[in-house]
Amino acid sequence: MKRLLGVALGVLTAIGGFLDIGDLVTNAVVGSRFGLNLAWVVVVGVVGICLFAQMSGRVAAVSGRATFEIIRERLGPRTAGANLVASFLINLLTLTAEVGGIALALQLASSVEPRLWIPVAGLAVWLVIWRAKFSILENVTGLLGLTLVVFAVALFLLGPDWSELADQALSPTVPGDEGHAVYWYYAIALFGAAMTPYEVFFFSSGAREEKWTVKDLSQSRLNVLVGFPLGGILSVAIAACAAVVFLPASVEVSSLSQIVLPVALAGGKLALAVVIVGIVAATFGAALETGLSSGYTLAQYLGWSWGKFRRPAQAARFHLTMIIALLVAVAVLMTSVDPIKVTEFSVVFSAVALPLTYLPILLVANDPEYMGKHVNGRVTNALALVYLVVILAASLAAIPLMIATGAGS
Amino acid sequence: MQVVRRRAALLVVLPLLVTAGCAVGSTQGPADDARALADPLAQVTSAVETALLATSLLDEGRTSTTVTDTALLDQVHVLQDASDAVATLVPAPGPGSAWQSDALAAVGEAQTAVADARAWATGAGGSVDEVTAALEDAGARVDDLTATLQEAGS
Amino acid sequence: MSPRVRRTALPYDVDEDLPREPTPAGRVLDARLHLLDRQTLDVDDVPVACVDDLEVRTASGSGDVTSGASPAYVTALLSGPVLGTRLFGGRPPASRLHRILWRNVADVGTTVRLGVRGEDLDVLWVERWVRDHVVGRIPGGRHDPQ
Repeated sequence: MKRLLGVALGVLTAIGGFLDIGDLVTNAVVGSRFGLNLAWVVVVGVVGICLFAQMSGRVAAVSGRATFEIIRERLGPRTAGANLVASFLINLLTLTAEVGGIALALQLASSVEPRLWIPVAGLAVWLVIWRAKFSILENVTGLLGLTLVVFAVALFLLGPDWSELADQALSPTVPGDEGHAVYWYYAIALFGAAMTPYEVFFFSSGAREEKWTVKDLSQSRLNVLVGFPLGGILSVAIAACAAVVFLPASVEVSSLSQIVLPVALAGGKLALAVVIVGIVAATFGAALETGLSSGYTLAQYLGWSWGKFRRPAQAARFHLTMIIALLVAVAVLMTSVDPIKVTEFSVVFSAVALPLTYLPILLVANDPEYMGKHVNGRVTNALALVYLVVILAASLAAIPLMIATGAGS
Repeated sequence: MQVVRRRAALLVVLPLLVTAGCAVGSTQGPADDARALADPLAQVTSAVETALLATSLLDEGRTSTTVTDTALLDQVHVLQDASDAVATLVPAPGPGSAWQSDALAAVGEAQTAVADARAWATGAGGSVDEVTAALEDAGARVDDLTATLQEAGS
Repeated sequence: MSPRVRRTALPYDVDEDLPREPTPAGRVLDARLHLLDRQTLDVDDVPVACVDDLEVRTASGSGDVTSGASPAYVTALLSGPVLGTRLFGGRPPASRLHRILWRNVADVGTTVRLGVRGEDLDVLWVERWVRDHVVGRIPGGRHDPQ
């Protein structure tokens, strides 16, 4: 019974933890402009993140080493250093977007302008990182984030034309008023939103935090293989809600307040309250994960003592890094930059940086010195190679497409 | 030496000439003007439709004041961007400048309608019927202009 | 680029027999592969530092280690600012190096294990400074997370 509860908790946390501000915004924007014509990208992204998270969780559990320690050992200090700089900056960008997302969600609940909420949100994130146990912060935000299921409920209440939605999802076309370049630009953005690199840093370092061993592998595999696809279904539900309500009215989603309107239309005030709680929890959880990831990456590269299982004083530089990262994120947001814009850039740059973490993980997952008999099987490797090509293509195409389309406008 | 210097001078002057060529107006003909105006007008349509949805939801008691207020405020910002985009366009000779002033007027009307809707939502006065009618008028005006521009742009 | 060098003009004798690699009993460690960029853990499994560079000396303590004339020994693992010189080249003054003496190394596996507590090592002075002046002073910094 207790084991079953543990499994359920892990799966539920994975669902809630899958969604963050990047998924919310990108799916709603894409839904309002392309309907479900890009839903296939979510499927590609979810399979990719399952593969990637499963490999990095296995590497962490078997070798007892976290991602960036391995990246440095395998690639040497120079390449790994360049990798660290890129990953750290993109993670910082994502952290900024998440903290901004918390402030925007709190604005929805209070009408108080986000600039007043930003320092509060930053402080709250830091307090939780500072004082709460790892398992608590992971489970509570994951479970609260599960309230985003309300998007799926709202979709049913809206009573859409299912055959049309299915038609869009199954035989995708580029809608008449949008160009091909814009379509592919948003495809990459969606891919980057589903496969954000911080999830992998967090996942592999989290495995060390919770002291996973080979015995925990089946549990972790289950969490990933069940939780992430269900999270992906929620992503598609967000896009579908936007498609049903906004696409016919030719509304282009550009703010968080628009994303919640379909839910209000379907379910009234109660559903609205639930979705706001869900957005606060999802962005808060992701802010914790990205905040921790900034500490994890730097500490692992430089060999510092790190981890939430230690007292802050026993991992002093790790905690100082996170404090500085949060201060930078808050400072950037206080310049009145639009958090939604930051989010849109962060998902695209996530796609750009993806090969930097994917490739080393793939190499180590095949290295018997680290993995013993738990190296990748043939099926995993075949799939992993296909994804290597996909990830490289997305990474290389992202910036040219961003310039060509004026960031999708 | 002479050759090197001449080449360096060319390297400096060429980009300058290219940029100077773009300095006044990036559009060439009325069709380009029409296309350039269509993008901000699409934003205006989006903002007006969002405002309509947000006010009707509040009227039916399906959203809270805070959410509608925030949604309307966000649309004020969208309209501001659209207004900037229209105002900074340098039209080519022809109907471009008339379209530009029509577009500016349409954006202005939408801005007023959204501001009034926000006043109603926060309880400052006005009625939902007035607010909705104003938003619909603004929407219709933008639609007309968009249709004209589409004909001219294609 | 440099023109191709004639075989007869090569700086070494092409027909010379190269010395055989010694095959000592016991484990062979490759300094680059097994030491550089590895994580070091202290006797309580607390991460200490990454091996950013190595200090290599000859037995007598003088002479050139790269000449191969006398056997060279790894005398210390280096960490800290020396990483900068490894990334960008150059050489830091010997007084600025933070050493972990080789005699403190207990085991070399996927990590390098030390037989001493990290607390007593020079390399951790930044960590101690941050702890004593910043993190330790913030309320709750010295308590277990709840």
